[in-house]
Amino acid sequence: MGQVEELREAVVSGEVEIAVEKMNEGLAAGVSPEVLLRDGVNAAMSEVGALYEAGEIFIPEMLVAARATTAALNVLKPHLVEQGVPSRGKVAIGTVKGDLHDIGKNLVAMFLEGSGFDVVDLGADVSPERFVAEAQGGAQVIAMSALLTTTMMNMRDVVAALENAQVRDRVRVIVGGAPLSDEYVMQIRADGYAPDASAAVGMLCELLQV
Amino acid sequence: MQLAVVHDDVLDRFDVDTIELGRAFALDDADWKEWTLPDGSPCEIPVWTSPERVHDGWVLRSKSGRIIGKMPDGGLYFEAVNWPFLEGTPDHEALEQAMAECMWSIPHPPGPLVEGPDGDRLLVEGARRLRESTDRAILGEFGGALMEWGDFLYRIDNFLAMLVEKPDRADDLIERLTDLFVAQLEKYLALVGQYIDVIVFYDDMCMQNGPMISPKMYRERFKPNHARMWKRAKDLADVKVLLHVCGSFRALLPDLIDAGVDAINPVQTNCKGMDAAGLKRDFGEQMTFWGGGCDTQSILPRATPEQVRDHVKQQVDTLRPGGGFVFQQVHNILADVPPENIVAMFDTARGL
Repeated sequence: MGQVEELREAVVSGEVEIAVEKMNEGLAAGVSPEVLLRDGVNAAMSEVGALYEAGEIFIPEMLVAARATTAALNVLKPHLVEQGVPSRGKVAIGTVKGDLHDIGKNLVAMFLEGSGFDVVDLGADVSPERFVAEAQGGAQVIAMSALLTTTMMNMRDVVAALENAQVRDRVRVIVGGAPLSDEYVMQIRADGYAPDASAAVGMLCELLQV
Repeated sequence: MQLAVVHDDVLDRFDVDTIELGRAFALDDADWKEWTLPDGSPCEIPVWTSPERVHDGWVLRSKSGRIIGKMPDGGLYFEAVNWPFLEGTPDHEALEQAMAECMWSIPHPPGPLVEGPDGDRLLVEGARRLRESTDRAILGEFGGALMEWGDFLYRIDNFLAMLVEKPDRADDLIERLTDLFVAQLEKYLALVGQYIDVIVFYDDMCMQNGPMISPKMYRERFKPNHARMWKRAKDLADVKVLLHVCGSFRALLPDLIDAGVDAINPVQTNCKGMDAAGLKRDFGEQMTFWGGGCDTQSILPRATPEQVRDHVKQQVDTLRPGGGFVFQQVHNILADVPPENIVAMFDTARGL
């Protein structure tokens, strides 16, 4: 079994140290960073997503796989930059103003990054102005999360702020969180909703056609 | 610790059948102090809670002075911002000291009013007074959360990862928590067991689309410890065990029932696999649904009173036949709910 295959398996089973080790081995053996990303890390994320959707793994297993991904990517990133390997798109993600619940947002961020997106994590309690600044700074996707029916209303303010700053056309706006729905996406003129981290990756690939 | 105390005139207006044991306490003006809600409305909070203003919101401190909770501007609730076991390899021997540094340890009434040398006597007297004054069912708010205390102490992502990466550490914590709660339960029920009808446990383990952990992991790690508490409660007093668990719990339900649950709240019927008819059909003879009366994510805050009425009628018609149903809306009534929808909901439920 080659390093890429071993890397993929280590990520799927959430073995952080082995994933880092296999990534280093692959780089040392001269495997191209692009192959390590695509066939190692990204393929592992797809497999984890499929296992989750099939009900074979749950959040703890998904979390450790996402953490192994993050660790392996930290090793790989400088090499990707050096080789000029393009990302699938730049995503600015955060929980909306007033909402500190960030477990779901964090999982989505890790999944998107592991799936080849360039993720700027703005953290929790993010103001509309900060989302707008990211859109102005070149983010192609604004991703927002809220847990409560009270705070989800703040998503509308972010869309309005993007419109006022005349950057709404430049970005895709996606949302997630317990009370969210496709219907609400329509109401606030966002572009997409996904019920979990794995589905978010698929939805975003479709929206960006990548 | 953040829910409003519902006054007697409101309980009477809606003909409410239950009351919390905590309502027997903090009856003096001296137990309360003035505060202002985020929307500017005046309110009163227990004297033992002291929110402090910071530049971007409000914070709460533990007795030792550490900031443990925060309500950001634009938000309506305090959230935990301190996880005592976040870093290093914490000492599980120091469990109780660590719990005191978590926001969710800040108590609702009676809280500190029944601490100290006279505490037990005051607790019993309060419970007896409440029992003698009402024929409402009295709910003893006990707690006893295992997964959630893991989350509060370690932070949820770390605790969930620990369940996979260091299962022995996780088991050690879960067992120590259970030992602590069983000891508390024995003392609590010896004092108030004869005055309460229902003992309330909570443990949020689920999301909109299913449990956070596999049913297998639940069965191996949590169920034996939940059963130790829930079955012990019923051995000690003539009480029913009510468990609060949000989200889609259907995949765990056979095990929860087996572990001793009599009733579950809040029954989020809009979640995956949680449609009321299916739950009633498959589990209605084994347990009571305490909730599910009105959806709170799309209906109660957003629909018209007429739509609320139709929805409530449908939920009650589904969940009530044969008994085993206590009407309650799904989860707390948040600040975005129009008052006329609350009236429509309770009046419809009462009128059916």
